[in-house]
Amino acid sequence: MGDFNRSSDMESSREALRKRQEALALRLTTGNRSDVASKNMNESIAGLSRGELESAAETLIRKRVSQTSSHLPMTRHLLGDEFLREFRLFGASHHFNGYRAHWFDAWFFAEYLKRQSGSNERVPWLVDCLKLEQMQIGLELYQPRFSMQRLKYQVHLWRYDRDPSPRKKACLLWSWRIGRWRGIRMW
Amino acid sequence: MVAAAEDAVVVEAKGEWNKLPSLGVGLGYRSQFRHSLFSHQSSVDFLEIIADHYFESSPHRRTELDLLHSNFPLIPHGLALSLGSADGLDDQYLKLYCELVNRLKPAWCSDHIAFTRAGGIDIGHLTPLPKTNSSLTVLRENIRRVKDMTDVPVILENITENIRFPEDEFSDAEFLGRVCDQNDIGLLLDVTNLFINSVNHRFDPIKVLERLPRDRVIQLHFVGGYFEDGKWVDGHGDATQEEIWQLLDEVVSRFAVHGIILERDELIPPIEELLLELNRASEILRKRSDSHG
Ligand SMILES: [Fe+2]
Repeated sequence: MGDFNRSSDMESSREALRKRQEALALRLTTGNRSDVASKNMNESIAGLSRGELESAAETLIRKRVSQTSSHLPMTRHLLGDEFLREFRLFGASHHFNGYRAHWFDAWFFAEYLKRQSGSNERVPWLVDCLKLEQMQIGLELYQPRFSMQRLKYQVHLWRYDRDPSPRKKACLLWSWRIGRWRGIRMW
Repeated sequence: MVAAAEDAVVVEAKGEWNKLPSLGVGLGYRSQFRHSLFSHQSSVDFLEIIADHYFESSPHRRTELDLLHSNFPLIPHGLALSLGSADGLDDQYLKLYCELVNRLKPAWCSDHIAFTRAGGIDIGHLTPLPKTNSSLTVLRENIRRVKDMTDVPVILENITENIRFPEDEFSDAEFLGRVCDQNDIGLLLDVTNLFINSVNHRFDPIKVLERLPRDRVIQLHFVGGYFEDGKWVDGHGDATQEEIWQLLDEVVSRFAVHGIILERDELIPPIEELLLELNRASEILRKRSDSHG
């Protein structure tokens, strides 16, 4: 009986840990977005310092900016502070999974900037610079079926252009096999 | 009560840690100093490479790895085994990590006491664990899976803890000590992280050192941090501060350290500046071997 109680205690504390970690992961990667947060998530991170969570989320986005800057050094140089501002907008709604997430961040951020650049008269050669740096990232990724990911992203953009409103409600999750499981989340 | 029961599963140390080779002082390899590294080869005893960068890599990455491997002892350092994940390990990452380790046959391999993945989300950053028995159980299960796939000794690193948990059952020192004892693993003691945690969370780092198993502090990391908004941050982009050098000295005088890595990731200066720091670390290491015969 004692053993049974102990093992069920351990099971429940493990489940509490699992929920806490899941809620933390969501909180750190989405910031404080009320459209993504659920009641369960808020309960699972109860008791943690709000200030610490905010500063951890900020550390995470700064790390992504720094990694992306190192993959897009010329773009970073051309855009200056605007690079950080744009990445914050991009990073709030895109999150990539896997050990190559930093490369995907850089590649798709370049794609995102190319879309914005129509209105950016100040830096007329930005698009060429992005293409060049994307090419180098492509060499690094060296994954023939990476093109599948690009295609899905284009479909997402096309859908979004037609009707941006669903994004506010749903968390759109793609997970598909490219030899391995890869995921992309867009909120 | 639970803690006492957990102690019953403590694994006896195999006592083989002191047989590991002494690698000296080295650098965390970053491609930014790739060219200058080879012209200063004799000043760098070994390199720590980020394991993730060489999984399923492009031809030029494979060539780079072969070149590094034939010129330096290499230690693979993983970023995302996520050994603290209550969801368990990612099979694919585990396989790639162990394949690389088994191919390189290093003196040891490393990752972190942390989680980076939960609920299908890769956080992309090392996130601390609550210091509880549940975390110890999860670590034990996950570490066992790694050890089932490689015979290379595993050492784990302490991280900077930007989130503290009210449910903590152990102090930093107790938790680190238990992780080492229960899993027969070594410690990659990041001196900068220990310094930062001790200042930010107000504890005495020496108390932590006193609790650690004497033969298990295998490797050290050090680099400068910075102070912002009343807290130290592990920016990995500054020259090492005097306080951190002092703690490094203290650690080296207490433990038979087998290797020290300068872990500079950001704002990487000319290699000559890095080598100055390596020389100082080398001096500290030499002073210890002189005094211990
Ligand atoms: Fe470190």
